[in-house]
Amino acid sequence: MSAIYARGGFIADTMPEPVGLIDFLAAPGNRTSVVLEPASRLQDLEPFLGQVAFITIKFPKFNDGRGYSLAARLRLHHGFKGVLRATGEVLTDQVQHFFRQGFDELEITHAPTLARLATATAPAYAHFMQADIPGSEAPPQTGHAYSWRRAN
Amino acid sequence: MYRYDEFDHAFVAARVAEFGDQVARRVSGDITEDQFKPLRLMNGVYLQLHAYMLRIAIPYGTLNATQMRRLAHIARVYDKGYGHFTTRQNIQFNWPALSDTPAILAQLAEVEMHAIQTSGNCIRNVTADHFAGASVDEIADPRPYAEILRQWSSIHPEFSYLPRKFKIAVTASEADRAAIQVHDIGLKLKRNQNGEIGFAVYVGGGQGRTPMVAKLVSEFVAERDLLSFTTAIMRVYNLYGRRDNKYKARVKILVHELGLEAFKREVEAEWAVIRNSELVLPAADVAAIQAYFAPPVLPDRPEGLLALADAFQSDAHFKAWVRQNCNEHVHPDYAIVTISLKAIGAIPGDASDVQMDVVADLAEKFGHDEIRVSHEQNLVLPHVAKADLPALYAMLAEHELATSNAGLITDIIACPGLDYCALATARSIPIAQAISNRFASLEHQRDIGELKVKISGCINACGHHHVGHIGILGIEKRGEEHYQVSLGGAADADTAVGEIVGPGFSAEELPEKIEVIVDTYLAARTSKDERFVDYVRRAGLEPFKIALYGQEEYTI
Repeated sequence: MSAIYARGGFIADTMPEPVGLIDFLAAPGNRTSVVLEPASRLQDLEPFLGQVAFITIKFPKFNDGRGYSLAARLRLHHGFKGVLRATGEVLTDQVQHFFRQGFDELEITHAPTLARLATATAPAYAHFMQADIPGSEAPPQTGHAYSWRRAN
Repeated sequence: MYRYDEFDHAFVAARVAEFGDQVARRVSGDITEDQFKPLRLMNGVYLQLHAYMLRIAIPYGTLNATQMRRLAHIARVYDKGYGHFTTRQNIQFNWPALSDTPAILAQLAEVEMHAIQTSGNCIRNVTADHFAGASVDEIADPRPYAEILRQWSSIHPEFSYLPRKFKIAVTASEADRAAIQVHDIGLKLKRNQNGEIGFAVYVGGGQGRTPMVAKLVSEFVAERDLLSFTTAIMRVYNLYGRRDNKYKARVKILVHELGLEAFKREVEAEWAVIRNSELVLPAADVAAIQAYFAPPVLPDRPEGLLALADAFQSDAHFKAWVRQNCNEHVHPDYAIVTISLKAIGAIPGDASDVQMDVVADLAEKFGHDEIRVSHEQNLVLPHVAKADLPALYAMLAEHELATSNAGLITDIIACPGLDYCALATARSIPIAQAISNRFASLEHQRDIGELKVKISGCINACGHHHVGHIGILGIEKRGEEHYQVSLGGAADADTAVGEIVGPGFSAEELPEKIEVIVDTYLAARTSKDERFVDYVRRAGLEPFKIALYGQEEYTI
């Protein structure tokens, strides 16, 4: 079983069926969604980013962090404004990381993670030492408002 | 020194709560050991040979007396009465129960300490020159920049699952007491022609099984660009660093395989995009952090000169200690004091709870409440009036903390080795003790002069053997511990990887062979001014090979 989780809670999966980058590049046509692997090259996708509204990034292992940097590049280098989803081994302890790194949605299959998110019992941080991506302006209300700090 | 504000307190408290929750989920089985391992590592909890080990960060090696007393308390209550100071300015406790670790972390948080990112494939404790803020040769205090990097790298959402661990060190001195060229990123403070502060940035240094000296990636990165340039390096590494083989996953391998120029191009391209983003470091923020590191008010104590002269007359041991363990301070009435954790025959870097309490007391009484941990596994009191040195020395001597061997052959760096470590292939501690005992005579040590011996119990090189003037690597050979010796390494401004001198030795043979090496140098040096490492650089390995293995065997 899997479910789609966004910042506010679980949501319905309304996104189009995504295709892998190789299939996408073979026949871009009017396709609007694509799935990236950790090693995918964004240069290949760049000419088509104008038509793409939904990108899924795979995390085959939760401790392979390449997808976080792909998300950063999509948002910061390419100005991607569409929906960004993480899929694969998406676990409780990384949920905040994903949202802070520019993801909108998480596809979750790990049963204990689903259960915790359903009951909203996971501890969460309210203080951060980095800005979110693509960049937010919420200086902390406690302590010093150093440029690198943010708070919820 | 840096003090937590409300933000830091809330941040660390959230981390302690999160880790408590993670331990509970591991115990309940909600997460597997594979899923738990990276989480506990990022909180400093290792599984060692006999027990869990907890590694606590001492950012850039700076502590106050209250913090040192808390470490003593943890040693007493949760461990066997001692702790081990490491080469990365951390302290390790070898015997805590896993179930006690959330409580220990909570007690550390009370005194503004943590174990965040002392292990795991993330940005580790940021280290700096242990003489920072006191030495005569620095451009500026490097610690504010290390503190900014510490904050910025803490629980970074993008850089928590890197290909491998990532170590940053900062120095502000040409002498480089922070070994920056054997770090993933080494930063050297400098001023440009306009007098503005920036950094020479070195990338890709490291030890382990493939030792490499870091390469210069930028001559000058301005202060405002510190975080954006570092982010660019991290992003390139996170995307392109190898993940197929943990032994090839450090950034040094990426720099090597890509080539320095291609790596620089990747970093520059990334930097161009983010350079003027919210990562710009405002001068006002730097100034606010620097204010925490304002030097203590040091009243003139001109009576120190006479006091020292008097004490030198009556106590030759004291005189020797001052000569060996005290360094010049920016204030002429003061000295920087190295407290050796290398008493003859002792375990390098270990301190008992009592010793930690004594150092805390002395720091309060004589040292403006500041203590440093050096990467050479000693403690430092950076601001002691010369007039107070006799009293300080007397109290240190009562607790085996006054060995006059800083920088000498018995000031040995050693990893925990097979006595504790699950990765080790041989013991390090008994080797260090045997060499220390063999060269126990301080007079002889002083005659030998500066000589850095560094011992690792396996190829991962936590004991820095590659950069020892004499490096010793313990390996396992047909079920026996076996020690390879390399010569000529260094981890200062002239960083170099040592060369293996020849076939290795058994644990029993080794101390005698080290003596042969030292005697070879003593017989051949031009004068006492030619240090051991200078001689190795001049003469090469040949004289040592002949002395160790014999003329005939060597020439065959």
